[in-house]
Amino acid sequence: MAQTANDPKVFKSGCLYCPSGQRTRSMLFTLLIETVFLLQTGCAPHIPETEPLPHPLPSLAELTAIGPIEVKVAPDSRQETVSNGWYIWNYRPKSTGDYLLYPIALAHYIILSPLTLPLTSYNASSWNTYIRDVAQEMNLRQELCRQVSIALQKNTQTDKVVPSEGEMPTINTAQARAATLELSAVKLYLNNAGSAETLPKGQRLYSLAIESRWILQGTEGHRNYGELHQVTTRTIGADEQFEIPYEIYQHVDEHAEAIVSRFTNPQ
Amino acid sequence: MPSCIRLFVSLALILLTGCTAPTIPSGSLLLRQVKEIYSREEFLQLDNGRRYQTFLRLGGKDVDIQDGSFVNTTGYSGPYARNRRDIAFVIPGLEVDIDDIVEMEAYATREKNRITRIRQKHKQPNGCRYVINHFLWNSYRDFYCDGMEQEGWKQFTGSFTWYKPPEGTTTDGADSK
Repeated sequence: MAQTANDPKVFKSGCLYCPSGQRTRSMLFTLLIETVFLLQTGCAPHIPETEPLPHPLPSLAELTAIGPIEVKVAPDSRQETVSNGWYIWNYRPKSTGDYLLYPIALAHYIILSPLTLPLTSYNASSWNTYIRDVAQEMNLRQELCRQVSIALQKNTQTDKVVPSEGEMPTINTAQARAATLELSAVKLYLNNAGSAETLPKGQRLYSLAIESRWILQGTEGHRNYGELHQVTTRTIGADEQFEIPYEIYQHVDEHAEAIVSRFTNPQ
Repeated sequence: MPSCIRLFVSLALILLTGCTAPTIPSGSLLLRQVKEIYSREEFLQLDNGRRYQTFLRLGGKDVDIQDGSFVNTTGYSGPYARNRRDIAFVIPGLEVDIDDIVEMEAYATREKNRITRIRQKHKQPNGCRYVINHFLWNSYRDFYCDGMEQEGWKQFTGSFTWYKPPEGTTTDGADSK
């Protein structure tokens, strides 16, 4: 038996711009869909927490007593970047005026979402491309390994670390390694949403995060010491994209220090 | 098809289009005009030394920074990029002057930008000029030089920017990385 429009099982279709008689339920439905889209597009990337070590890593002193530590990029390592966010969700009202404006601004974006969504998604897309290109141009994986090598050297004797990519030819690489610290994955997050709260120089706030996974492998007998997972975040103020690479470099240094601190302070 | 589903599909398509929005590939050539030439000291102090630090971290060498090694350029101007200036490193051997129109290898990390060729010297017309395109209420300005199409330059859909993709780039705006 054919269903009719009066049959409650039949969904009454329509959209924002349908003739007035068809609007009621479908408009809510449409708004719901659009809100979901907006949330999806606008949500800042989820940044994970640093995972605890499954079992304690050997200390740097223990490792370097055996021989040098080699830091390198694993052959099958992954490099990912993600940038997302939309300022409307990160809006931090401060004054009464801000509180009054926020629901109006939000309602305005949702109602106009057929127009704003493409712009928003295009913006998110261009930021994703931007951050991907920056990570590739700076050779993020190699850069991270290099900085971990430098941080390890600060914490141990200089000749007890072998950096990747043959950066320091003076080191005796023929000597048996005590261990190899291999970077298996790195992910760079940039929450481009910033905040409506501007800094004194008119900059906007962004948050930057690096997540990395390492495998510490003992070369003697191929002993696997375990996997190390590290996440660090940094809040930055920038008013143009060109300021972001500098901040990424600063954050790579901080991240490398955090990795090394896991050896010296296993908690 | 019910119109709400039609709207849903349209939105999804729009979103997908947005998600795959092509961009000018990293390393493409753009036409720029030199607006400022930095002395070594000026560049070292620029943005509290951040530009210099980033240049070094990218593998640049301090010895390469001489007077005139870095310039500030302007070029494409559109609704979301009004008179934006980008710095660029001038490859050794090129003598650039203010208002020269040059080819710049453009990167997301601006300190990696390189001026590779002088296209038109200041006050020496060589077929280069500003062109203005209009779309709706927006105007887009960019430099254009005669014969660019034959040299492999393309005009970016949407923003009307002229660019020449680097070797190995196969499709419009999508690099083959």
